[in-house]
Amino acid sequence: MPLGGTSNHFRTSVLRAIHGWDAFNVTEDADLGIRLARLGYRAMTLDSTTFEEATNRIGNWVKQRSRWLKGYMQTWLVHMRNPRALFRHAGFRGALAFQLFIGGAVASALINPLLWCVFIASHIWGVALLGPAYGYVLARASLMSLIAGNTLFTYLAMLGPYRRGWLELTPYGLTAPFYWLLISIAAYRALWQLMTRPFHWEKTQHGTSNFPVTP
Amino acid sequence: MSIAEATARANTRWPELPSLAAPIAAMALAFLGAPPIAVRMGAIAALAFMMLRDLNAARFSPATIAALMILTFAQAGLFFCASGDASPWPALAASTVASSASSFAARRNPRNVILLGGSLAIVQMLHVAGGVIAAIMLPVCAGLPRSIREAQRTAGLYALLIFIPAMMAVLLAYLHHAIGFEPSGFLDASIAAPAPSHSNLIFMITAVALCAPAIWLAVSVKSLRRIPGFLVGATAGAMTIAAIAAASDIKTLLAAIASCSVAAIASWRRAAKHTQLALAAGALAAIVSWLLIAALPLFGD
Repeated sequence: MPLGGTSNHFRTSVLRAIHGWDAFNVTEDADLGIRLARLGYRAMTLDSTTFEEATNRIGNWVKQRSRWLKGYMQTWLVHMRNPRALFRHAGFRGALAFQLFIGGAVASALINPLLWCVFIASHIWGVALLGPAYGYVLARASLMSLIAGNTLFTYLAMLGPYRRGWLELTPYGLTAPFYWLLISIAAYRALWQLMTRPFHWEKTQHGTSNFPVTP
Repeated sequence: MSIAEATARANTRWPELPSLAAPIAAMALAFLGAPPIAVRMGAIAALAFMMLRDLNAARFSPATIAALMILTFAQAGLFFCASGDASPWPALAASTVASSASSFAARRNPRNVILLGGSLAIVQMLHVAGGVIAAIMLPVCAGLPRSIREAQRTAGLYALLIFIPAMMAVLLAYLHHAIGFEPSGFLDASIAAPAPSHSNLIFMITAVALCAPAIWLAVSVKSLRRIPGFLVGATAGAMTIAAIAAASDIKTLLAAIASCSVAAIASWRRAAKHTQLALAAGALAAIVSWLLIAALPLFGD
């Protein structure tokens, strides 16, 4: 389980036993979750709520997400130095979950704008980018995948606030495709930083929201 | 056992039977090219499954459920569906919408929101005027706001409820534009439905009387009073308006309204404690349905 940083509770003895966390990883919590799993420890979810301030400025938000994605890239690279050991320690399911949650999050954010470009060029402008091999069935399957994926993601983004009783936030779920665009911008920024400033910790500016936190 | 493990166990529930699986399975049978008799029986079986599920959820005893099912299928509309004189698809559509609208009114959890949105999407495939039904049911289910603060919340609920039906409408419009495909016409052709007789406006409006016993009891008996009953009534009304708009067959409309009468009974508060009233309402609906058929010539048919 790639842990998030807002509300984690550890046994100190366990942290000492695994020699703490990787101070060079900018998402040390996510890395810690994977290392705990590889060493045979279990993480559980408490059914509770932790309130925190969400970033409400696009520039600040992109910086925060690019740090998270850079950390995911670091985590993936570190644990994939020896894939066989990862599969041996975490088991098949654990290693698969690692690929989907850590690798998949980064890969989808990086690939998303490329696929949108292919879609716009081929379906809207009629450019035959991939030649005859990109046949009718594959083209239709890709289109259905695009529509179904975005529809499902948008609907889930709308259902989330409804589940918490925040109905007034539900329509904002319709902006989910634009959210993905921003995630992709953050992912490419993260990739650039991974090569140029791998250990730079980009701080998120807090205290910018006027919205009161009401549990 | 740790706190975390106890919480995880408490959150684990047995999955309920999928409500929309029955109409989807019935439609799949048609799209897979099964013989007309098999498709018709599949649609009726799906309808019976929906009714059984609602009555079972209302905690009626097996004997009462059996009696109510017999009384419901003794109603003229559903009898004509089984005998091949009417299309069962609108009845399935009405049952799907009425059941999910009533569940939504009883408990507004995410599952029921998805079910209502899904049923309003499915009804567009099952009925030629499904868009009209969805357009009527959305404001009835979501309600009207009473303040600015409530308006924001109601808009959020509208956005959530309209999302799946709107996506389905776009898909159907695309299919119609691209390949000229119209699902409700295809479904009617798949069961070799009889050509609709000429529609009689007054008779069609009168057909809502089939739901009247169950709705009337829900309104007049204080212990049964519940908003879901009114939503089932609204479904019956929406079906009638859609049938008038689409110039549907009278017998088919009777079947659609008949399926609403079961949903109305199942939506009563503590329905299982009122078995006799439920059986009386079911029997009354059956009698009214045949009286209406007998009175059809009086309406000029």
